[in-house]
Amino acid sequence: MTTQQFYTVTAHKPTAVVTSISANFTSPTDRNLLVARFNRIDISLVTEEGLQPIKEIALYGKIEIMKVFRPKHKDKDLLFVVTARYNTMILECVQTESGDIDIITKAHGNISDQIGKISEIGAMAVIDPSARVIGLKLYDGLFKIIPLDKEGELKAYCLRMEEVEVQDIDFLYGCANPTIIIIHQDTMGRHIKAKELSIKDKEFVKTPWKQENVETEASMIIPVPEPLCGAIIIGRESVLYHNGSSFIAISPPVIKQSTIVCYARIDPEGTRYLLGDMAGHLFMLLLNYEKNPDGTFKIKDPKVDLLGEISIPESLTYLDNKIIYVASRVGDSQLIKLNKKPDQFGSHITVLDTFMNLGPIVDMCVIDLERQGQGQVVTCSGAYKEGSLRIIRNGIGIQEVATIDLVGIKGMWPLRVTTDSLLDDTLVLSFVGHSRVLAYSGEEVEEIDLEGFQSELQTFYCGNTSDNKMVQITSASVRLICLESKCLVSEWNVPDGKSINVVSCNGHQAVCATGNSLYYIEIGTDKVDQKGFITLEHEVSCLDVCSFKNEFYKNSSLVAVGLWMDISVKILQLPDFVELVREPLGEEIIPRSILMVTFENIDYLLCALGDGSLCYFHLNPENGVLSDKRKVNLGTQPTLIRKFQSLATTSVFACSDHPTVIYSSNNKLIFSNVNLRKVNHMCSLNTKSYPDSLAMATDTAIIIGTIDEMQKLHIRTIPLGEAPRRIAHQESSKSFGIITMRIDVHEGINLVPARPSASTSAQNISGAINNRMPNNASAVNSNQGPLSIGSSEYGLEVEIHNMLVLDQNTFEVLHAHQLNSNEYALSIISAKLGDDPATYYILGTAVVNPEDQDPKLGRILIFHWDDSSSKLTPITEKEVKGACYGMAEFNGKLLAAVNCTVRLFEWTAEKELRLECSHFNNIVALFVKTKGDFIVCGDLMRSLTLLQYKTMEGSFEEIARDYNPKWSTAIEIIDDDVFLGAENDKNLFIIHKDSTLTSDEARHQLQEIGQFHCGDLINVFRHGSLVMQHFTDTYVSVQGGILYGTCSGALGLVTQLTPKMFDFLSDLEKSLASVVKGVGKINHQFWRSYHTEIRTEPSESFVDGDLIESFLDLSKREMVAVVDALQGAYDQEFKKISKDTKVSLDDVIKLVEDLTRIH
Amino acid sequence: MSIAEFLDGMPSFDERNFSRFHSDNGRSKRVPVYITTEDQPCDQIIVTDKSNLLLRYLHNQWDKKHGGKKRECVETGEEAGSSSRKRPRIDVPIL
Repeated sequence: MTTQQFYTVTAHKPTAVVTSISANFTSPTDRNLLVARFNRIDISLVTEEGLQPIKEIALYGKIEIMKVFRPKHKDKDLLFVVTARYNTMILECVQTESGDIDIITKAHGNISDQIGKISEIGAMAVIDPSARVIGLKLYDGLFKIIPLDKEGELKAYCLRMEEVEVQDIDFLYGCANPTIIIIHQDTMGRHIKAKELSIKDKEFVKTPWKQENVETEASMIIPVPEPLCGAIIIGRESVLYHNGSSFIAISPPVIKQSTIVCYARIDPEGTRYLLGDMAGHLFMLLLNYEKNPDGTFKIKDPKVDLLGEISIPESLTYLDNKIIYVASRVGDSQLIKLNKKPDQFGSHITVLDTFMNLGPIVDMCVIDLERQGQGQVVTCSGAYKEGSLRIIRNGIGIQEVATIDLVGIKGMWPLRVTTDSLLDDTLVLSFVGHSRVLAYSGEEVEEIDLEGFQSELQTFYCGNTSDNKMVQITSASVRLICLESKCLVSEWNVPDGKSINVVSCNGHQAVCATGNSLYYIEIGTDKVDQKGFITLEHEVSCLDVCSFKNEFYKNSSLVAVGLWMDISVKILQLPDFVELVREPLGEEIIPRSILMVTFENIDYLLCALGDGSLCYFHLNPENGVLSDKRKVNLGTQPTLIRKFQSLATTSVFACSDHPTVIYSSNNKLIFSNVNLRKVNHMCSLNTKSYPDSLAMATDTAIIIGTIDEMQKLHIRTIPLGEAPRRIAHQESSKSFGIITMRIDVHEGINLVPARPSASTSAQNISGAINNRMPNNASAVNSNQGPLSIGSSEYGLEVEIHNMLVLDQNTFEVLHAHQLNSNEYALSIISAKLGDDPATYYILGTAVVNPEDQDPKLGRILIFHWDDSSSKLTPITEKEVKGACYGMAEFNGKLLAAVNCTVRLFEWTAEKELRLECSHFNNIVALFVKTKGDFIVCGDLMRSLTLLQYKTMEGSFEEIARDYNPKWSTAIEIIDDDVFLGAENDKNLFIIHKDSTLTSDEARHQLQEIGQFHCGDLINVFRHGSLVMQHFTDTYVSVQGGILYGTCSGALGLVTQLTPKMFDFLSDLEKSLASVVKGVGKINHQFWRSYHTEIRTEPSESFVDGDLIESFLDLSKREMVAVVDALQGAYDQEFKKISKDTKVSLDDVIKLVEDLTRIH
Repeated sequence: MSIAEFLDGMPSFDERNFSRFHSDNGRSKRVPVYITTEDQPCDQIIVTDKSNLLLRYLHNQWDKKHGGKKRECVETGEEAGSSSRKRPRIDVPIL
């Protein structure tokens, strides 16, 4: 058996919010916002400036429930958390002496039962207002109680609950014994019931009150605190207040549009509530009352009003002073403020801040437009109105601080004109034929005349030199200017009136080239002198002068020269231009910019070429020898490379159409994209108002900004206003094809879009746009019974599917092709078929008829998008007998998964699809992936099947299958006989086809060789990388990196490890798992163990990269403990050795840092 | 004018909160991650009472009827009986 071992790591943390709450958690006086996202709890503090993030707590488990409670006689809140695998914990936050916080696990345990049917509505937990018990609804028919007012062991027990279908549950206020109220459903309808609990008898002892047949869609309970007590029941159309003895119901029309899903209590008396619905409406609910003389209360009609629109909420949390946190699972979360005065649209809401959420990532594609080996991920994110595309790219961020509109900049240099300052105050700009000087005073900029400065010519270099002087090199001369007396001190003119065209200067030495003549000018304190001259065989294309100190502190100055014609680089020694090295680049493109730079005590020569590529060498400054040549493509246009200082380290900025920052870490060069479009020139700038900044010239402006310390993922959002489902990129037409779903509403005989969105605002629209009624049949659904629209359907929501074509750069919606109202688009690919030179968008659909268990009909539609005329041409369509869930291009043919079959279609000369062969051995074939003649098919519940296409026979043969049932959610091919899958129980698995087995039967079984619990639902795998792979060839083999996107909005990476690395990293993982103490005392091994309802097995052949990366969050002392706890002994290269020596801490840190850079 | 009435009555815990609000969107710093290697003592462990619901009910009924007097004797009797007839329950530890 081959060893196949993997590393999986989260590249972008999950962002979909599970729930949010406010509490006094970090101290009795702190008002905190706690937000749960997948396995993380983010703690922030409400301050004058807003929300201040304090800590992020990661758990070994997906958070299902998070609640706070205040134990009796305590002044701050405790946190109660339940994970998806029923690990339960009570957490307390304590302040440490150092001012930091510590999270204490007060209680913990697993509350799963081995029998019982898990409630379909999901786990629910409620806490008694007096904090006596916690109630949990995990299994149907059972209600679990965790008593809180006990010392020692907390023994949870189950109560029988005769109401099986429970919609919602909560504790009532003001009851002597803990009393719950439930909404439950039976054949008669929905009812509410209060049930009193006896802690002593461990039983529900009585039913204080109940109300049968409340609204049929009553779904939410809001218990009302004292003095009123009772509860508010929210339905689809009504709001009911009931306190046992009396009730009052209203039916506000505003809430009827959608279903209310969450609420926030605003005031402790329980008169004010906010309600949020599934369409993103925010309502207020006011429950006013008067006190009767006899002490009872007279409840007035509750008032419900629409406040405005927000992100589709998962929970609402009132922070303070009319500011609310809107937590969203399907869109960005928000911080909003409520205003008394409505705005022009009638909304009382101001959005103060938004918090990015990629979840749910339904589909994604990885594109590499620049062919750098670095992918950009484009995801289909969000649902309903929150649907969007997100473009995710790794790089260094520039925070723009100021811009000045200026055209035609040919060069830029910072300058200190005020002689007693250490800060720059001036920016010198060079243009063709003239130069300008901008002076900064505060944030103001003005153009000044600097005496002695030659502004009539183009400047090639300008900068300060010693003794309050500056050097300006123009096309005619090298000028030394005194900044105090403001006059020219000394000047060196080019002989024979020639014109300088290339210059390099380091402040004290300048090298100027005119054609193939090269002059060396020394810049003294008050004189500039020519000290050297040489004529080269070709014209100079680029230059760099740099002085190095050798070990005896002796200066040696080198000049690097790039030459036209023979495309070579020379290293010359000053002052005599002694040629040390001549290095032909072996390229066909002329070098345009050259630079000698020292990173982490290693000297490099970088040389940028005219095609945007960059060659780099190690440079020996003693003898100029160049070694270890490597090349990388940075952009597509001539690139200029400049050194700059930022945060006390030297970096290099490559100005091009794809600006890049080059720096070094652990003695490796890191090339990082910059989130700017095109930069022509740049220089560093350090003024009073713009400290430690960069100035960058684009075609039309100067941008001043600061640079991020770290490279990270940058995300751009393209809101669609409707849910994107699938995405395909078409390189030939520079476009994306996207499937979206929007909601239309029946208004009489018309279907009207519920809101404007991408498909309604496309430049061109085609398809079933005039199909107002679904029975306005096309040929396809003619055999479907026409859906009649009676008056009862008025207001009915219908899902309308569209195929959109978007420009790959601008993301403009160029075209929308609408399907019939009962036809769902399920898959889209871009492919070339047969000998046909055109590239097509191929769309797979299903006709959905509510009466059918499975769709009986679908279509495969083929379109051609012509980007020059922006025209979408339907080429052909093929009817299929079922839903076309997945498609792939397969050797010029079209492979489609249609219901339980996998079908192969030929592309005929008549441009039609003709069925060639089929394979029938699935429940529902959802996914198809291909490699060579092999096809892997993912089934709804029967895991993976491997098929081979027999060219001669024109048929499929089932080679092997995984006989362990798995509800696959995404599949991918790793190599010829190794496959990756994700399934509904949130596990990752690796399947292997072992061809070495002797018996046919054994060979027909795919072997499970790897398993790992991801905890998150993976919807899509794509081959690709978020970083330039060329530079990550460290210890980790990144061959075949696979990215995945999850329901919680995480992006992850699965990559193969060498056996050596796997051995070391698993050892490190084990060591970390033993040293790092998980919050809530969940075992790391338990968290990552493969888990389904049927079996739980330890993770295998996977290393948990998230745990490995947490190594870097440890203190030095703790890191040492982890390294000491390693089981094996390793050498520097992480090879296992028998000797009793330990790998050094630095080596481990470097390795883990490198690992953080593979994503 | 219920919205005005609603908004007017919204509580303020500290008037200064959000008074100098500014969005730091996009330049947010890395939030420190909580990680600990200290093995904290844990006061309480949450366990599940595995006793049978029906038996518990019957015991409760019995106790009510007999004022809890004979409880102990019943329990011992039951134990003796169950050991001979039924296999004891085995709790498979979850991984």
